[in-house]
Amino acid sequence: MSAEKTGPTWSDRIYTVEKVFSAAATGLIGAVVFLDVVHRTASREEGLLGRAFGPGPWTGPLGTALGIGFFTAVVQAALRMRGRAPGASTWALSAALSVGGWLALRAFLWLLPNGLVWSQTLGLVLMLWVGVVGASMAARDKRHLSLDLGSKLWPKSLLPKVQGLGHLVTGAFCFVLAVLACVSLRDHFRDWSSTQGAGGTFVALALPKFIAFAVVPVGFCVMGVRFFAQMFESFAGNVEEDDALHMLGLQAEAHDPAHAHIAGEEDAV
Amino acid sequence: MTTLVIVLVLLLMLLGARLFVVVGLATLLCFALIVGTGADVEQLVRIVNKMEGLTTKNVFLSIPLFVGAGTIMTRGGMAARLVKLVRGLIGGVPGGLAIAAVVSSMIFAAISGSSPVTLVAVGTILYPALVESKFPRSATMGLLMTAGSLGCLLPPSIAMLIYAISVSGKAGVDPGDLFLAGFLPALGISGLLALYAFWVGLRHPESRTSSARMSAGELLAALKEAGFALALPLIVVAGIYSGQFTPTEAGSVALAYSVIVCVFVHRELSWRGVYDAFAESAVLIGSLILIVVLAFGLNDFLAEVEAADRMGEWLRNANLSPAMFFLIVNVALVFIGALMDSVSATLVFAPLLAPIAIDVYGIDPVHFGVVFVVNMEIGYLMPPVATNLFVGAAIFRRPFGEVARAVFPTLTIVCVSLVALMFVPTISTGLLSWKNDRPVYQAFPWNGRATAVAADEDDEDSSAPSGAAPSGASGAAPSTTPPAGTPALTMDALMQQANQQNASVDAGTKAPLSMEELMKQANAAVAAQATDAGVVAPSTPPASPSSTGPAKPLTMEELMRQANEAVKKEAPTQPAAP
Repeated sequence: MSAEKTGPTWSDRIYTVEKVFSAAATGLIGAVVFLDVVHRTASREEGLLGRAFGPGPWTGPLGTALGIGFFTAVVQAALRMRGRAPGASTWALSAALSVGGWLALRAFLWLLPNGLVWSQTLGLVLMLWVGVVGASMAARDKRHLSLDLGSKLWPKSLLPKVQGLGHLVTGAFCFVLAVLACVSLRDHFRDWSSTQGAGGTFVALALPKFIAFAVVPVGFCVMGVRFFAQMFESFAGNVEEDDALHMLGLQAEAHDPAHAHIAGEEDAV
Repeated sequence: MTTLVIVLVLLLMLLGARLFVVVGLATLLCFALIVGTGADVEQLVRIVNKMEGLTTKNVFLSIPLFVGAGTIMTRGGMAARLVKLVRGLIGGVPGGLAIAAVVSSMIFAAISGSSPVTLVAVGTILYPALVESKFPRSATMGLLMTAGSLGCLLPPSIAMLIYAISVSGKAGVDPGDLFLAGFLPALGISGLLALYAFWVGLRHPESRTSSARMSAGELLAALKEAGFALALPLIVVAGIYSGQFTPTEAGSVALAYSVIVCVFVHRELSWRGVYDAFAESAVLIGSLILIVVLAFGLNDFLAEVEAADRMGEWLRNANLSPAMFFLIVNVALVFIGALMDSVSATLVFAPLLAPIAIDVYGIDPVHFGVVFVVNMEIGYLMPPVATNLFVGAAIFRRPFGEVARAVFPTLTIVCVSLVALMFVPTISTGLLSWKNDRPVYQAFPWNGRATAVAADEDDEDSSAPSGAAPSGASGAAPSTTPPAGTPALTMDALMQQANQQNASVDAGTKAPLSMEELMKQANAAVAAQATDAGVVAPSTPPASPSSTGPAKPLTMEELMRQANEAVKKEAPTQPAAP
């Protein structure tokens, strides 16, 4: 890959931005959907947290005390796993963290009485963005799945040319999809502008669809350029590795120290 | 034209084009050449609309969440803690370490939801230990690769989510139901694998002597260390089945929990590691999402040309028995799984085969889903596109041929299990039936064709809900007349439709899923209805909608109306006082 070159290429720079964005967006998806679950389970009596902390005959002060007691025990176990010695100070810290959590929960419910009704819509839009950006990153990392019958059938001398052709077709297809995405975007913009912003938005989220879907043509364009760049690499004689761990992104996990000592003596491949 | 498309697809495969290009170009060409849209951009833009349509499918949200959680847990060292505990528990018996590998794989698969990830996480730790303990290398590799593939069957299985997403309508299944249904088959297959490990261990006593044993104190310490990791599958499964959250939302709980535990409790993952894991999961999602979306386009084409109807008609005329149909489908699926990536195979073939299996042959939708997923699991182990074999060859550092030979005995075990699973639907539907207070035993619809047709006729009157139970237990097996005592009004079906309705209503208001209340209402309505009609209800309502009896139990419309009204009424009043 481009790591062997002297400095970061345009693709590396875009990749860095993509990585930051996709990581932040994935975290945000998880956070909003999780907070929505917490809100729902805490704000209703039939919810688990609501039963523990909420108002009601069983769930009043006694429920709150039991809930805080339970979470104090869980935090205590977590602190001891972190290496803290058992003792009054650890119990006090656990209780303080649990009470702090309870107060934060009450504040959360007070601040957002209606919950995060838009959480799943936002999550889905972000998922689209993460998916498209991730697809672009996968193009750079050569991580898109392929049946790859070619590498097993073609003679080695022809393989770079064949792979180059494959990249050419893939890049061209990405640009076709980018054009189609632009057409779709135009339609969404028309929906939005013809209704003075009343239409062409999501039900639970006042976000115009043409903005939410803008990532699609951009992502396909970047992918197309990346595949064309790989086409030139292939025509220059570089053959892609056929490595299952690389394709699945599991190299990091496979380099386990437990495996290292045995790998050396049995390197049969 | 069809030949041209097939030739082009083969050419693309030979060129090594990416899978999404093969599926996408095939879809575009099918529309352009076979449906006749030509180069009409307005028509072809549908393929991009499919991608935009993802923002309306809530269940899709579970994929980034579970993939993210799986990546965090794999990098956060949860596997090592689980392996240590299981090794301590059963390491002493013959083949104990290998049994520990099977059990660890099963537990870790339940956490990560991915077969290759499980194989890498558990395999890299236990393969060296097993080889060192003189357990036969071939059996070691076979067990690890096969046990790793059990991730397909355990919640939060990505394969099951993909199946639930791709199949809709009458054949549609709830991912939660599919998760539950996969549990017993997974347990059964892993039990057989453990027996095999035990047998190999007996034949190689030298492997037993070197197995590490733990003292009670060490075991307790290992249990404490693995406690937080063990709690996750329990939280996810208990949360889903107690109605605290949906399978989609369970992904967010798993993600939040794994970050908190790996960063704050185990402290094996830094924030930088979390960042890398999230970026890594984005790449995995990116490589998956294009194939999923473009396969949706292909499904549209198949619907456009009425492929399922035609195939169904052909299968009707072929005069096959359900058993023969199931056998043919399974052999075909094993080959498909061997040639295609499991996700792509599910997306392309599940929507095609499921409606036929359910409509024409009366096979339970959930049962068919589980059998389909087991086939995909076998696909992970069948050359040439056997993901787990390639991953295994890479992590074991053995030639592919040796790895492929090593998997043969355990693959045979899975295939035998598949046959048993096929013809004993109770294995898959038993837990679900038990949960829904239905008879646990469910016979295979040996004469399912005739009754399926009859059920179709009944359905026209009854408008039974999709994917659940048109006129029999758990949505299928309408092969036999339901015994007296089989609920005619399947609460499960009502629940599912109300859930779906609730999901669409709450798009704007996020209404609470007060299914308990809906159930109470529905039960009361059934009871009142049965009392009016002079029969005992609801525990022993009339046998079936088509059976004779004074009651007219097919008032699903009324019940649904009530349920819908309840949901609508409840939706705006959801906000709770702080």
